[in-house]
Amino acid sequence: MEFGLPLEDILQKLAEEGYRISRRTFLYYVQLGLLPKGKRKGQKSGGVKFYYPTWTLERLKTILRLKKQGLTLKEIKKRLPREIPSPLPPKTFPQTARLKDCNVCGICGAICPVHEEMDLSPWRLIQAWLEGPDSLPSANTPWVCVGCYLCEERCPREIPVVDFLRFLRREGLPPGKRWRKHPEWSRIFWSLLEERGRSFDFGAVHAYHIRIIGSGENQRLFLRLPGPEGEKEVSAPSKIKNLSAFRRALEHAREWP
Amino acid sequence: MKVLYYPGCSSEHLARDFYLSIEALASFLALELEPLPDWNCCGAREIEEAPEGVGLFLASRNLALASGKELLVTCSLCFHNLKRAQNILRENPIWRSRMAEVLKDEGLELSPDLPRILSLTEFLTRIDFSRFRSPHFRGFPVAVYYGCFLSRPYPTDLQALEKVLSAAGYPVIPTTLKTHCCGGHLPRTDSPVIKNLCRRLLFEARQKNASGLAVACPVCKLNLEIYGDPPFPVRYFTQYLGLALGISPSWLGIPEEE
Ligand code: SF4
Ligand code: SF4
Repeated sequence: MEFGLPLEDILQKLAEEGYRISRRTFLYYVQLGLLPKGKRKGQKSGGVKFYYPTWTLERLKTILRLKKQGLTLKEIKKRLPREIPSPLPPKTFPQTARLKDCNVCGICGAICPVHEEMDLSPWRLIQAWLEGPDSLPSANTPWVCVGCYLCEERCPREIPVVDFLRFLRREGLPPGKRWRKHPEWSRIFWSLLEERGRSFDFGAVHAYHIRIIGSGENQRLFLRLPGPEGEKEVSAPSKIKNLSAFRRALEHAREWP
Repeated sequence: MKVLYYPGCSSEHLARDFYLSIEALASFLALELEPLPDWNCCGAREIEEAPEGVGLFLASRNLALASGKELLVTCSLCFHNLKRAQNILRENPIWRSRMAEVLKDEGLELSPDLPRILSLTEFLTRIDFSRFRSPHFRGFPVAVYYGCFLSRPYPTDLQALEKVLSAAGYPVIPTTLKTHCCGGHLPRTDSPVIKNLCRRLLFEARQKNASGLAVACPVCKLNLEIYGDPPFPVRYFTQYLGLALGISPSWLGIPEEE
């Protein structure tokens, strides 16, 4: 685990973004297990500082946002990702041999409807991967890809571009090179899915603000859609029948390599 | 004959109007559409972040529930996810046996006879809409838009929308962008990229003198309505079909004031 930021820097950064939190509250959250434990580091000046993983910042912002929505700390804890990211060795892409056919024509990047949002074109990542997993630069490309398959349709060499990007996003890139997109919605999506077997297509609505109040039977969802309707309360999705078997199966499915 | 269909989560909220228009069409045409009993979420785009097994399980459970039957899928993203899983189960015996194992717990069986997945667009080509057209209906020119997931990588009939809409009395205007991308689930929604993609699609339809754009996917419709500027009428193709049959707009999820 990388320990990047001293507590002071985290508080400073949050203050710059308009969040208010005291040192005391921060340490209280650590005590509750909402935030990771810091690591002591002696300073040249003689003092001691506590360092926290860089993702602490994002996690703390999520906590503060959820708190603003009226959730209790207990509810917040339930909603935060349980797993604390740790660096994993890069995995292999099963179709690497096929990537070698790429002739670097650049069509995949040119045809891509969202290429302007990408740090690097798909083919650049393919070439970097072929040089060795360590050469992979950090780039938002796999997360920006909307999966339209236009690149594969036009690629003259039948390169599995979309599968490759999916692989990078899931497991190919070490956590330090990952780009987390709207982690809060992902969390809500999965918790609804686990609680009910059904969810929302949040991917499509993360721009419109969704407010969730309470949990379980008392959960209330508010959706703000553009247009004259403004914000409206929507019912949570209906439940499937055998939820305990569904959850067990989901848990099981997560463990397969 | 009963036909099973998979409504997907969006049918309850974001694509409520799609769902209403499908139900209205079904009752008008006396089609016995039955929602897949106890269906679960397909995982939308979020399964891309989760281990492969998760998306496969979510799809496999639905596939098991529809074993041996025809399964009509209304949302394009659900269609993509179910089709992709179906292909993996067919080609990869390891995933297949894992899924069979995990489903057993709930008493579900992944029979060798996986369902036949059909898009709503293709399904409706079985109906001759010219027979049902209302005598009072006067068709107006529309352009059609399939978006990505009905076109790639598991292509459906890319003349289906043209067929049903022209049979229903709409002159369908040919466009070149009908299988292009609307920006889909681009994570940065304040992006100029998604706006440009949507504007371009509407621009073509307007330029060619269409009075509306018929779409088949909830994400495409929302994107076009939110980012497509200046605004241009975008409706589900099922709403246009319903209007041609003389079904009242409110039953089709079309707001009164329009
Ligand atoms: S289009 Fe295909 S061959 Fe051309 S650069 Fe992209 S992946 Fe390589
Ligand atoms: S599938 Fe992804 S990388 Fe390929 S063209 Fe579409 S958005 Fe771009």
